Amino acid sequence: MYKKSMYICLMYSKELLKGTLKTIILKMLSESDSMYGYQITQKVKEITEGKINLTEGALYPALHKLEADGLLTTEKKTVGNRVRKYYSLTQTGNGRAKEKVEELKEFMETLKTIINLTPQNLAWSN
Amino acid sequence: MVELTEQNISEIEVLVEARGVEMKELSYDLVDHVCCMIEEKMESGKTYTSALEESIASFGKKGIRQIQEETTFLLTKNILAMRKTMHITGITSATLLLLGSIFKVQHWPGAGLMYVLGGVSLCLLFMPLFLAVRIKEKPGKLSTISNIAGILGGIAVCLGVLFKIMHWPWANILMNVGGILLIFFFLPLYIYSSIKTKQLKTSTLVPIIVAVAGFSLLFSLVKLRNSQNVTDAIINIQYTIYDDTESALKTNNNILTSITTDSTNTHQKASEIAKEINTIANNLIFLMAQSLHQEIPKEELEKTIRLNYHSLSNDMGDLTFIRKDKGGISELVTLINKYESIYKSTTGISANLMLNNKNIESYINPKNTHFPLGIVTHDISLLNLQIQRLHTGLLQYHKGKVS
Repeated sequence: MYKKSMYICLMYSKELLKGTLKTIILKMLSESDSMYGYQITQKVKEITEGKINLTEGALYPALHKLEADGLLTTEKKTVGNRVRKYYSLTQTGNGRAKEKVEELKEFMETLKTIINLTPQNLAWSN
Repeated sequence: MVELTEQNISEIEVLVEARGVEMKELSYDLVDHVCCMIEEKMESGKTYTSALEESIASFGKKGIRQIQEETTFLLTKNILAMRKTMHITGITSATLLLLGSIFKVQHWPGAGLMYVLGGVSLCLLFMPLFLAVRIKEKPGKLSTISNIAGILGGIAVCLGVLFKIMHWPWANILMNVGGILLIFFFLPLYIYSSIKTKQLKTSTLVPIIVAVAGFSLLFSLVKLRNSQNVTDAIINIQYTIYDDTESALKTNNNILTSITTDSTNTHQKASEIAKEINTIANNLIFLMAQSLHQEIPKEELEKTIRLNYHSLSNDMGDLTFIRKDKGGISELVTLINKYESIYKSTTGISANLMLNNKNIESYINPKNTHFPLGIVTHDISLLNLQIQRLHTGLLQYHKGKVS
């Protein structure tokens, strides 16, 4: 049960989101100086009008992995009586964010050609 | 704007921790996340209690724990192969060491080889791999230093025990260095980092206690001497042997001077051999003691053999010290055999001293390199005593014939 809920998103399946999760996080962080976890989930929800809902179960492991890989760095601030960790891109992270976004764009284009395939195209190519 | 109180937050921290989150960095994230969720729900009019319940429930039954597992998995994915190798070498060396000890107890051949292979793969493959995995899993200056100290100490202690079993040099130094590294470097660092990360709980205290207790027991086991009663008894026996030999030598001398004429002069020849046996036996005991205590000056060691037998008797002496062409253990045996044949031809009685002392064979056999010093000393001095006593009998026999 809980395993299914790990990558909850309202519209898209877990598999679809899984491969793009890191790119989404890097893209979000490249748009602002630093963000904390909850803020990232809310921002993604807001931009996608609730169509993509990153869960904690997906977000935090990915954030920690990106940090371990040296793409992100954290800063702790005390906010509302508790410690809040702000994530921001490192220099390598910045470069990687651009690469990843470009890669995803290209992939989407490629996907489009497959998705738009009609019987006529297929016949023509034969 | 709703803001949670400190009390609320510590309650949430406890809840998150109770669900099995041990990674401090992750727990900051999750506590803040839950707080944000609660604050949002409270802003839309819910009470703190119901907002808390809903938020925690939204993770699912094991959801919070699952996040940590997923994080650890992602972080350690690239060292999985290394871990696998570590497990294989660990199991292999443990099996070899276990088999080695079974073979050793049963006196089957191959025990030494298994110890060496098991010990070497434990110290030079398993432990370094374990160190590499630990460093990758827990980066950071402090934990890296403590890991290096711990693993190096472990390697030194294990190698020391292996060397001790194999009677190789440097065993004690290795064990001491390892012990110092473990107790004075690794342990304080480990306790300090546990306190610093507020993880000093039963789960960290128990390994510390087991490690300290285990090492102390191992240390005292290695350094252990016999109980005082047993030691006293052994010393008494040894002193009796020395005293009796001395009095036998004196008696022999007295009888020898009282025998004035002997047509065959066989007793003269026997006396010479008996004297030589005494000289060589004493020298061999000295050499054996010297193999262990090369740092003690010669004159002092000669005194010590007599006065402080006990302090010399616990360790393994080097048999190569008493194996030499002239005045070695083989010559002693030859002389004893020679004496016995003279004794037999004169009195018609076979003494067969060697039959009663199986150890002597091991001293000559080059397969054995080390033997407990106390036992070697005892065997050689006892043989000497027996020869001198036989000689007393022989001389009295001659004296009776002459007078």
